[in-house]
Amino acid sequence: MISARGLTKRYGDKIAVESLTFDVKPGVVTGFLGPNGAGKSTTMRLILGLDAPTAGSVTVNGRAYRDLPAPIQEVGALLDAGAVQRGRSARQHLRWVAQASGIPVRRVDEVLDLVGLSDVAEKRIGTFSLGMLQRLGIATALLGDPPVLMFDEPVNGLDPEGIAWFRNLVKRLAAEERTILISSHLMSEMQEIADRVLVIGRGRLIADASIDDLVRQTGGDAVRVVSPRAAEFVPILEAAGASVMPEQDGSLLVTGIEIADIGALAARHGITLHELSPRRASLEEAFMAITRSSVEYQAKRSRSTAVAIAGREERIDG
Amino acid sequence: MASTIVDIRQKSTRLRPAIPLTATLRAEWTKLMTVRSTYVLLALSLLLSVAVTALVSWAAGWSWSEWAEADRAAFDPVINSFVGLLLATVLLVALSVGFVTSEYTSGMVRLTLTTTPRRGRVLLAKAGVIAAVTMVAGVIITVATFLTGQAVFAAYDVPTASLGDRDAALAVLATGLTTAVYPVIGVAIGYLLRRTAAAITVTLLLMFAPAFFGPLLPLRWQERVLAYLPGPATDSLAFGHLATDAPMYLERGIAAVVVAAWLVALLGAAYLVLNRRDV
Repeated sequence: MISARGLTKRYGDKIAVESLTFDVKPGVVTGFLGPNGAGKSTTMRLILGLDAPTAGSVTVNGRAYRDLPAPIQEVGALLDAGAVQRGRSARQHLRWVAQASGIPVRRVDEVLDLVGLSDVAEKRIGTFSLGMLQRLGIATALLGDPPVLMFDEPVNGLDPEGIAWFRNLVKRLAAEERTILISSHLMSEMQEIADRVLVIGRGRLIADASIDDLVRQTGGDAVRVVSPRAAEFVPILEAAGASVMPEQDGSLLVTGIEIADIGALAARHGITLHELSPRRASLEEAFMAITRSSVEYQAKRSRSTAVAIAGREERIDG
Repeated sequence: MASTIVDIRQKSTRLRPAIPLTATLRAEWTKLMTVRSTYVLLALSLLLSVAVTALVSWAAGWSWSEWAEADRAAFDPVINSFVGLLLATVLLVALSVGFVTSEYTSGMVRLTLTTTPRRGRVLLAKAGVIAAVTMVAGVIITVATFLTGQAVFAAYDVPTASLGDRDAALAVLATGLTTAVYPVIGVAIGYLLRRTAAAITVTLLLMFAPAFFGPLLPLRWQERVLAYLPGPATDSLAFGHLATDAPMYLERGIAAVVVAAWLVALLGAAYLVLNRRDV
């Protein structure tokens, strides 16, 4: 369990994170979401005792990280997979980490096997691809077999096969009742693997909820309607109190009305339907909705910073 | 794979024994011994210092017949066989500084400090590993340059010294062991400055400045100030007994205290900074 209480970090007069209070609950996968620069990595550095908080505190299993007797056997972390010296082999690299933590050196081959790097264990890290570096970082996090795991942008640089592999790994780790915190700016990725999400923007906590709650809070589910007479159908739906969004492919995204009522309306007006399907709102949309409201809140205070955030969101969209 | 499937709840509540300092030492030893540059720098230290000693000794032997009587009388075959050691020290400083600063360059320092959050231990382990390696290397290199120098002197009928002579043997051993002083200072300055070039420059300035500029200063300064800088104090500790009339000479006991004080002060400063700074 990771607990932050009023966690604040300023670098000079720049606020990186402000008054973060949250618990990362054991046995579930928590997604840590936010645009680039929102403070996710800073929060992780604070959890690991690399940076000292300006105010507030954060503990892991009830203790400050620096006070853990065997830290990487309590918390395994992947921060930046590229931050390794390139001259060693993967096995040599993991060997020093194991030795520093009092972990038996035979565990090194186990984790190399676990991440699929056994064949290149003797190769210099300098020859590794981005995806292999990422796997090495994950192996390092798993070395101490810790009950708490933290991954900062873990699927960066992984190919689709690697992403599927990571997803399975996280599911397996979660099934072992570990506490898992995964940061990402890829909302779709979180929807696949996380049970809960913490959302931060501009260093502040915007949401702390289960994925289902978050989706429901921010507009809920919609119904996709495809009809050759869509243009005629729109006013009928709107008259029945629904709101309709035409999509680019000519389909309609209808909210505010039950799916059965849409079918009944179509039948009553003799409108042919080619498709009538429920569409679960994605975490992506939920995320955009809540960060947009945080932007609006910011806009009241300062127009220029709101523009900066909007710019950041656009980059994430693209 | 089966090994990872354990009862995590039971695991997290189990009391873990604290990790001993030897674990940190072992890890730092592995780090130092698994990069090629360590071997390259150690080999170069030996080769270059022997080569430079051979060259300078040869020059002395070759011109010996033209030396003035007073210069011949003042010639010390032990100290004169140590000239090449300066190069070894420079290369070993590069080794020790790089051992620290390369972790900042690559960012791996974050893994080091999450693995061992008691940062003083990392500093102590790095300094300890560097001290051990450079002491062993220092003794080997000093013996090699000493024997090289004596062999060349003998070929030109220049006076020679032998390891059978107590003063000469003591000078060789002490010089070899004190080779570690600057590399350990390099570890401290590496943590203070975090940048390779800056840390090497500062360490070497501390080492060379008194020798370069000292003779330009009044004798009283040399005796009262410069003698207490780490370089002259280390020299006094290593082979001061061979030239007790040198202006920067300190007695061995005092020299040992001065060198220890410098090491403690610099490592202490590095500890304070490392412990407080965000990584």
